[in-house]
Amino acid sequence: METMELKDFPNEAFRAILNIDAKQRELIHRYLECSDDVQSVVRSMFAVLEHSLTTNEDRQRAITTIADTLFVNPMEGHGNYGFDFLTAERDAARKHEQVERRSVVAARLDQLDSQEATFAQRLRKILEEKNVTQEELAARIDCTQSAVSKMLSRDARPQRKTIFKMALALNVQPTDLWPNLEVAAILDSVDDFFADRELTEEQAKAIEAASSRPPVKVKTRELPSRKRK
Amino acid sequence: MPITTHDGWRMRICRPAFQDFHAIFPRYYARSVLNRQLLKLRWWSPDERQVVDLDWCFDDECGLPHVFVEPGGELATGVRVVFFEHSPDPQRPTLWILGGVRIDEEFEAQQKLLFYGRSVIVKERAD
Amino acid sequence: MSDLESHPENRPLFADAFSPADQPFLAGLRCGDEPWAQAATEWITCSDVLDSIDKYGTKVWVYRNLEEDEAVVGFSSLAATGSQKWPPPDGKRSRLLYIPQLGLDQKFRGYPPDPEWRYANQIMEHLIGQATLLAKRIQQEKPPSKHVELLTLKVHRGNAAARKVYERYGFEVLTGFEDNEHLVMSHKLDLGE
Repeated sequence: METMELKDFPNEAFRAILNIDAKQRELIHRYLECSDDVQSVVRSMFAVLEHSLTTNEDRQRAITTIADTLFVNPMEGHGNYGFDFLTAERDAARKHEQVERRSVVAARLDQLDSQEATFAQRLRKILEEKNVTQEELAARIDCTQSAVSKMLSRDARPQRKTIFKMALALNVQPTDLWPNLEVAAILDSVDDFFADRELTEEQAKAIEAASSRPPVKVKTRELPSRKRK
Repeated sequence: MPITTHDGWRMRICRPAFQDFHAIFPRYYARSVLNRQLLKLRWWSPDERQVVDLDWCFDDECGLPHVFVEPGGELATGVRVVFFEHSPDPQRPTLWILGGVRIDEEFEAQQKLLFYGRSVIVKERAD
Repeated sequence: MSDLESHPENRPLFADAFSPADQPFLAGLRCGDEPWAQAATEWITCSDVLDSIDKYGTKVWVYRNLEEDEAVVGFSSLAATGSQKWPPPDGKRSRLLYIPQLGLDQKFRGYPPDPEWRYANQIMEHLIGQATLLAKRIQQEKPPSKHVELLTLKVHRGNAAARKVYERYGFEVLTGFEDNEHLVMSHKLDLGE
């Protein structure tokens, strides 16, 4: 058997191997324990990471896939891999890892239920008043009677476009079916402003102009903190 | 694919999919609404063009179906959610949610590779 | 009789940093029936405020008018936006200060009658003061700090009353950022430069 001479090792690669730390060794060990198919997936994920045109979003997806593959972390009660979606939904409030969030999550889920109940009630009433059957409504909005039935029985939450289609089909206002339609849009718009953005020329100019103006002299005030016992 | 139970498909989701949705919707409110929409997948049938009121299609290149959750109101952006059927126990037909991309993001070879890769991991690891 | 004795409502509000423990005491808060007012109520009483603090480091204050009463009369919030980049493709980064939400219980609209003590004015003046401190801190400690002297907010196009208040405090429309429902306004903070 032919053996390699030390001088035949490309020095850089050899040095790299000698310099591996414990964490990197663990990563390699876990990789080597995977089947060929899984190793192939991991290699393709690394190829995604290394590609010059990979977006940040895809980079993130590749990283989470690698982490999930090499560091399996089964969740109690959910089997060896992944989660049961329905159980996770049902337990979202009760078992949220941040205890202070549980009541908030529970309130939100109640609110979602309440919205769907209100919608179902209002739709049923309007269908009765206008003497429109589920089949007729389904035909008007291009879906199945079964789909309409599921929304009426609160098994399925309608999409916003479905609410608008139904409103048009029944000649009512969307808010007659779903009172808080606008509120959610406002909250999304508020949150959206945080995002990183590449400014347009108009936006950049507006910011520069606002920044160049003299500062506003207004009254400010400090307020006392309440003494707590 | 037979839906053998009244409750429809058993639904599973992999951790990277959760992380995709966290990245697309930092607000819990929006994610909770997305989850409600995805619950409709319980009634997915390859023979019907919609899942309740969600449009879906099959991508031949990666061999995986996607469902489209529309933007509007509660969801600032629409989402393409990739899923597939994998039932280690044939008595429990199961759909797996593999992840999602914003509706205005590309869905080309690289993205398809990512989700195909996840489906391989599911097939290997799911019990 | 002193002014406080004849008008006991003319007193400073109490301002405290929000914590999740405050949420039960926010249950009775109603900012109003208009969609923007409902959104403000929902933001502070549900998960949005917690998400905003966790993800963006938003500072939130709750305001009370009575020392012995836990009930909250209003709230405000303050954060820095993500990077604003200009020119493309990899231009300079800047950030703006941003008020994600503020709200006042509807029963205190226009109250007290004396503008010096009106709750809406107290909240605005407190918030602008906090924004000034934050902008100075960012300039000293945390780049990018370009444009943090601009304090921004979104105002619903239908909310004429709020827009008047903001204009009184020197906010002007910032063009190019509007969407279907909202205008964006900005106020240049006086950082004493």
